[in-house]
Amino acid sequence: MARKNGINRRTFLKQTAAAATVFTIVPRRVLGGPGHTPPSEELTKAVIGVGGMGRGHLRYPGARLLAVCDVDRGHLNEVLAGTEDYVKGYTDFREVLERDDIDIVHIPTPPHWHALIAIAAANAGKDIWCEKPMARTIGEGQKVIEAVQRNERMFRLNTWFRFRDDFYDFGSKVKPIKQVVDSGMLGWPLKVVVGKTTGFTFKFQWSGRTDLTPQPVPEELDYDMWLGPAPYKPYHPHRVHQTFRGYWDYDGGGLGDMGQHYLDPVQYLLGKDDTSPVEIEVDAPQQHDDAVGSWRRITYRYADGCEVILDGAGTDEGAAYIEGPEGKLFQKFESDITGLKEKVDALPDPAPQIADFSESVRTRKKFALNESNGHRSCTLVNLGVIAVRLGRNLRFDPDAQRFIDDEGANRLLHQPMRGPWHV
Amino acid sequence: MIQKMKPLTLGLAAWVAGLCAPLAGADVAAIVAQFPANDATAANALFEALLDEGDDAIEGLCDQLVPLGAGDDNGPRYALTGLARYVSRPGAEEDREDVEEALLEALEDEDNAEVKQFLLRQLQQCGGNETVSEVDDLLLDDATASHAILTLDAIGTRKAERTLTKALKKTTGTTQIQILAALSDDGRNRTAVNVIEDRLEAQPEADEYVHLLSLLVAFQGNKAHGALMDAMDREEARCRKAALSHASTMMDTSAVKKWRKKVADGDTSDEVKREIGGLLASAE
Repeated sequence: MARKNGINRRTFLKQTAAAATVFTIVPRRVLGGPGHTPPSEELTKAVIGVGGMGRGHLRYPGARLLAVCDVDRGHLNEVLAGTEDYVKGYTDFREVLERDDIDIVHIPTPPHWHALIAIAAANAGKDIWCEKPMARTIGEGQKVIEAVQRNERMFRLNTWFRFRDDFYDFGSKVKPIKQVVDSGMLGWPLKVVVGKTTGFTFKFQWSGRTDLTPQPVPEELDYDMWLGPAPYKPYHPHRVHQTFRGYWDYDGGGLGDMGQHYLDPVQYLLGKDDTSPVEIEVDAPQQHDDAVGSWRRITYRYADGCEVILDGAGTDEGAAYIEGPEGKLFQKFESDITGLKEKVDALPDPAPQIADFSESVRTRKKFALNESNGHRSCTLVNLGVIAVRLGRNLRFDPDAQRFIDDEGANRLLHQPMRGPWHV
Repeated sequence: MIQKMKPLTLGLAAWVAGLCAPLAGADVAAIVAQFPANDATAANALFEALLDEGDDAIEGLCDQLVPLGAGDDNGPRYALTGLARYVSRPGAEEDREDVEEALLEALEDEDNAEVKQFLLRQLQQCGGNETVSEVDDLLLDDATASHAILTLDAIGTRKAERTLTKALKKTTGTTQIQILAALSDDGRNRTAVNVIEDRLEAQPEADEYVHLLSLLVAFQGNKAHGALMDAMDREEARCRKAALSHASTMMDTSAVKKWRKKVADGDTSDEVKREIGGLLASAE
């Protein structure tokens, strides 16, 4: 593929490799020995994309970092300066996947790369720790599932509220909420309203700009590789790195960035891990061709009448809450059901979940949030993105995973990739 | 009908048209000034008003487009993007055809590559076979080929597939690979396979070779084992690893036999034999 910015990747890699050969002193813990876990018993990892979220992934416990990769040589050098000498830097993820000594590949790249790298990693026999949203389109998510399962890989999506930490909006862990929902105390169907606490419109990186004047590509950035499967558009610094989320080609603004954090635990609470809504209603301003704008409200309705409402504008004063015909659950586990907190103690625990990805990798048992349920909660994000972009309500067939009688919407299920990239 | 009109009637018609034309232009400008609309109801009313103004109004919007960085054309861009999405809704076939036709007219008259790319993106959303017929030439122009391929890929009809397949024979390099990638979801395609085999035969550099192998597997499935075995003769480890990775996903009894034969081949180096041994061990 043509490289548009003149970076000589091979020279860079040769230099990196040569430097590693000359200066690397392998630490004792790498070789094993008293008090140290030998490498053969230790999981190893690579992090692909180290400009933003990837910096966090470097520190996630459970596996030893062996490689980092970024198409921006500036990011790569910054990270390599702070890691052990045996950590090698790459500018092409495919060279990372060729290494036999890496068990887990982290993918905190922008979302337009998630599916491609996840599929390539699965085909290369790696287990995968992928940032949210899982895929840029519903079609790409389906292909990730196929590749992960065909290759019998373990997959973890990087949001955690269904199994750990207080759920942003509810100010409570999900487990007791799940117990209440499963008990039937609230009745059925349920209406869940989330999104008010942090909203989806205020962060600068969530809205694109409509006045981008083309700029020269910085020498350290391989812009063609950064774009990858996305359509070629002239470079502007606002299009890449932290602010990429504001452009439809790479993400879906606040909905893409934060939507799965909110929607995944709700999907779990409602027991919708293997299905999707049948109707999507949207209230949003008209959207630009390229730049993501704001939105106010997205309502997802399931076949059984359950509703999930993303309150982006923060207009629902009572949010967040879960409401059924027989009771309502508010933030901090408050409720109109008398003595709820005491009643929960007597309720059975939800089905156990594997909440440590290392355990999942070692035992080959699925992680709590894996490729299948991750795809379904990412589908909520992508359904919302499509409805916002089109500015119309949609009907969806959750089994066929296609819109009903709307070929215009179906065109956004599988957005074409710029070759040579394909899934 | 015009030929049958009397001169006086024609004169009157011209006078009326002369009065109305500036009024229509002012109406369109007033509509465009209201974009972006704050909600779907307001946006849809504006789209209906634009459609009522006819094809000329839409083409007039296209005339107002300027390349990125050359001025503020957000009004027309919001209007055209919104229209392309609006007419892609169910039950709007006639409106869709009108907008498609206007966008195609504008595409033909446009010289600037970035504006052409914008118009092609709108046709990704609302174009049909009429678009397929009109964008052949753009596949042969480096400035528009990539976006034209994405547009045909999004339209996704048999006619689009045939057009891309025909273009394979007229293109080379990156454009040809982009077309192969666009076709790779559509199942078997003899022309595409021939193109890939020819390019592999020429032993391109490793990056391209690995992409071509991946595309061949997409088109041929387990019939690609022969090409994957040929890849084991490449010096670069990444070519061999790519081949083994593809092979490992489709190892049946017949494939195991073929790969064993490759190991038994006297020309195969010990290193490659070890690599293939790993593939066979995991298959068994």
